[in-house]
Amino acid sequence: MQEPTGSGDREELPALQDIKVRGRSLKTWGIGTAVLLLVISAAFGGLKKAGDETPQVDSGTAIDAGQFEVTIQRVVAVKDLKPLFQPDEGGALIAVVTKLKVTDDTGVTPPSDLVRLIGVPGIKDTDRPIGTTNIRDGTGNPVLTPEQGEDVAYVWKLPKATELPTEVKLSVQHYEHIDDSLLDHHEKWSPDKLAAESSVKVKDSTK
Amino acid sequence: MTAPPLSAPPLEEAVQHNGRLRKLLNVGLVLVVLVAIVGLYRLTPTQQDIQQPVAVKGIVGKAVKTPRFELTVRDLQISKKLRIPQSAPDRDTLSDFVVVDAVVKATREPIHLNNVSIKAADGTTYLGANRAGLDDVDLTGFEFAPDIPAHGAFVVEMPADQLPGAVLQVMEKAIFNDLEPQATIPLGVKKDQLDGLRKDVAIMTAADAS
Repeated sequence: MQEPTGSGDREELPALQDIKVRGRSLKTWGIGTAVLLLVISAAFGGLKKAGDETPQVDSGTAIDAGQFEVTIQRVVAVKDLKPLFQPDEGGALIAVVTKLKVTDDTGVTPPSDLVRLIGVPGIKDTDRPIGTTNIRDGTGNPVLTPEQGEDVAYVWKLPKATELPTEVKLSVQHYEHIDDSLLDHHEKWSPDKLAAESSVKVKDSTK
Repeated sequence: MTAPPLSAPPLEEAVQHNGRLRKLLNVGLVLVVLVAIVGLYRLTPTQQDIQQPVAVKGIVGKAVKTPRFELTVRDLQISKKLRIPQSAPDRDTLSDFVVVDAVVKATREPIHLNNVSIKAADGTTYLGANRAGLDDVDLTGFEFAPDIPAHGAFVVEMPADQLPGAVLQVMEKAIFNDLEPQATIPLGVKKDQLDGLRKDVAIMTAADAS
């Protein structure tokens, strides 16, 4: 008596490489899809060079921040900057003094996300300054004239019982000019990457 | 003996040829549709285009009548120094102070004119100055009461050599100003008039109802 093996009832499945969809092998479809995805990603900037490391810049060197040219001049800790800025009880103020030039053709006030202090005790890395002022006559949030390098200070509060740092690290934001996208034709400036980082000694003028 | 089928090969060739043509046509049509979509998107006015401020043009010396205010530019001074009333010392600038003497009258309700700029012939836009103490006395800090003309000044910092061909632009708000009127006045300054307009110190008058 012959035992049923069952194998004779099963339909022989084709090997994976032999399967065809609409007359083309799976391998062809796979390569085709990958090429298509690459082309689409390239159209949206997928082949652009990946960002380099943020350059380290000394104070006194002009930094190209897109919409602005920024030169970090000095960092000063002060007791107060009356009447515009006053620290909390027992605290102090720390000011980053920059030479700020608008390179765009439209005057603006200094953006509050242009300069950030990194790793300063009592100030978070993401904290915006409490304000900006020009050195010339103590105008808060001064209007900048295109192509004129104005001395502008970015000011933060240092809380009480925080030891004054002897050196601070700071970052400068870069703004990208968007002329025109595929579907939009409005110009604008938007923050994209860090333009530079810098380590600057702090001058203590609190005493 | 039968004759060979003479008509079969040309028929197959014709079918293949038609198939290739159809594929080419399909690719072409897809490209045309893609270009049309992008083109239509770009041509379609956006909200920003439709709602941008409405320019109301005028000339120096005559009232520009917008639906909400009337503005008359009377005079112009250029100087490296600016004397702000009730504020010392005189201010200096990296470029020049352009002081525009003007009369403003609100027509419907109390308003402020916060958005002042001068657009140069090359497209560069200089915003109204905001020096400490200035907004207490210039026209940007003044509340205009309906039907009461007020006399004062707008101050803009810009290089004086950019004034020929420049246009003064004045409106109420800097943001949320969709479809609002913008008084647009060519300042009509010629290059040879610059020296005549220049002062040692520009002395501005504090804004006041006249």
